[in-house]
Amino acid sequence: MNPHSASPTTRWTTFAAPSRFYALAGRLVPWFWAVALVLGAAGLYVGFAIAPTDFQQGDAYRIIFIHVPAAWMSMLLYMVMAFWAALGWILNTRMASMFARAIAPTGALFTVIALWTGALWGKPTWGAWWVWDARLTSEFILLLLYVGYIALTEAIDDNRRSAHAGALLALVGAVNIPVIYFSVRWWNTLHQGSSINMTAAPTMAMTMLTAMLLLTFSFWAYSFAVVLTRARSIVLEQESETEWVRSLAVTER
Amino acid sequence: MGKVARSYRTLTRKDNTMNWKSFDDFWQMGGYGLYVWGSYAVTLLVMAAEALICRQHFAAARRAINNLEQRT
Amino acid sequence: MSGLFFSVAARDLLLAGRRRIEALLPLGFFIVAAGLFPIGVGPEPQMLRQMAPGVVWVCALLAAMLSVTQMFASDHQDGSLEQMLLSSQPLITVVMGKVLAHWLSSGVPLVLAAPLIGILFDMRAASIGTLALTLLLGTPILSLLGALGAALTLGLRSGAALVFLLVLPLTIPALIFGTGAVGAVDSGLSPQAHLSVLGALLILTALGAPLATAAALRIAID
Repeated sequence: MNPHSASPTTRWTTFAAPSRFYALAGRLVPWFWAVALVLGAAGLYVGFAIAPTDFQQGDAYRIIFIHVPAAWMSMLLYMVMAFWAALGWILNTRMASMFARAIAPTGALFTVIALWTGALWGKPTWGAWWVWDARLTSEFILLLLYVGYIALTEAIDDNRRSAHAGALLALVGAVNIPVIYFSVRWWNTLHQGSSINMTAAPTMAMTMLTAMLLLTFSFWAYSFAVVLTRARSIVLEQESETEWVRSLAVTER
Repeated sequence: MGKVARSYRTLTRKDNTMNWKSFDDFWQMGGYGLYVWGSYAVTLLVMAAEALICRQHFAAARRAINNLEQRT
Repeated sequence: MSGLFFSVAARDLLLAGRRRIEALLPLGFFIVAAGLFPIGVGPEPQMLRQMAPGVVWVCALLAAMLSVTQMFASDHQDGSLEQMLLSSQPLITVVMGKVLAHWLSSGVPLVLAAPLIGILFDMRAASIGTLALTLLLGTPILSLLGALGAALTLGLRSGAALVFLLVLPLTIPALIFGTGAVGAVDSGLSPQAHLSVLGALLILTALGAPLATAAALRIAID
């Protein structure tokens, strides 16, 4: 009888125990996938079937339905990652650090998606595959911050040192992001004037905004699904010496 | 992000027009098909790949646990 | 407190002085790298003059990162870094002393060599002066941030390469305002605003980076 399969107390801090987190995450993942798919389908339907063609940008503007949610997620996930990493460092809890580590690749991939879709939106709209506007440039720098975090945590073998060093790096990055963003904004106005302004998205009809919000929540649910799965893998790897993980080999299929 | 205009309450547009008159129009996206579908395709690909890799990672971790248990 | 600060700096400078060639390698890199650009893009003076601030600053960034791991590496290897951690002396002071030594041995040569590069790029005298001034303010920032990177990657095999990836994004604001100041002078405007921001960045970095570096050292060694 596995004592850890007893029902958890109502205090949420019970999920600081990797075993409880593992169990809960396992139950939640399918639901998050379901939400992600339903909201995604709804968002795409509204975005393509209902939202009208834009007067200025034609149908090319429909790229923003994934560009903007991806950019939002990339920034949100970095902050969330830094938060959990910092918590893991300050309170010395392994689960928080493992969770932070699980978030990083997903955040990085959303940054890549934001950059890719940004380029593909920029080409028909502004004429160039890459425009060094403030937001795309900042997004690129964010990707570097993610890659740095992943590289550092992967390079350190000791789990504790890896988690804490990563936390410090993530915090330093989080603090620097506003500084970097405003510096890049300044730099952008110096060099290009306001000729290229990617904030000039089409005047948002309610339908367009709805599609974007639906897809944002879809991405958010997707992130949960993927991050929880990855976190479970990390838990198995880092906690492989513990009793409850060993017992999984026998009980679970 | 521009101003938000109120323009709908139902799941179809007020004037009940369709956005595209044929599948070909839908595919072309007003000439921007390459960009729009290039974006959506890559996004879907990346997300599907990530999901798959996550799944594989988890399965590998499970297998490692089983192997560890069998050997000891 | 200041006794510790200066003695740590003096010790590091003495050690660097014993390996003078090694200490001057970043400077050599700086000159070579900057000198490659005219060869690569062509000798047209107008273009070179426009590129110069950016090229000099980027080469300075890269050169500074080259020598940054040395701040802690040799002390880590022979165990004296651990002794510094265990002692009751404040670690932040030790870090600041090491940063000062690094800046004096790596950063100041860059500031002094920058006018030379400026001449190669046919910059005007006023621009060269502004460039040197921005590097004077900027190279300490690089040393401070580099120390943080070196502390985070202490003892790692890929540490040297990792430092580039971790630290360079953080130096972008300094790069922007450093080159911006020179650009302003080139356009006949005052570089006051840019220099003020650069100075503010220096102060903020000087306040925050040693703290973070000390924390990183404790993480790496404890």
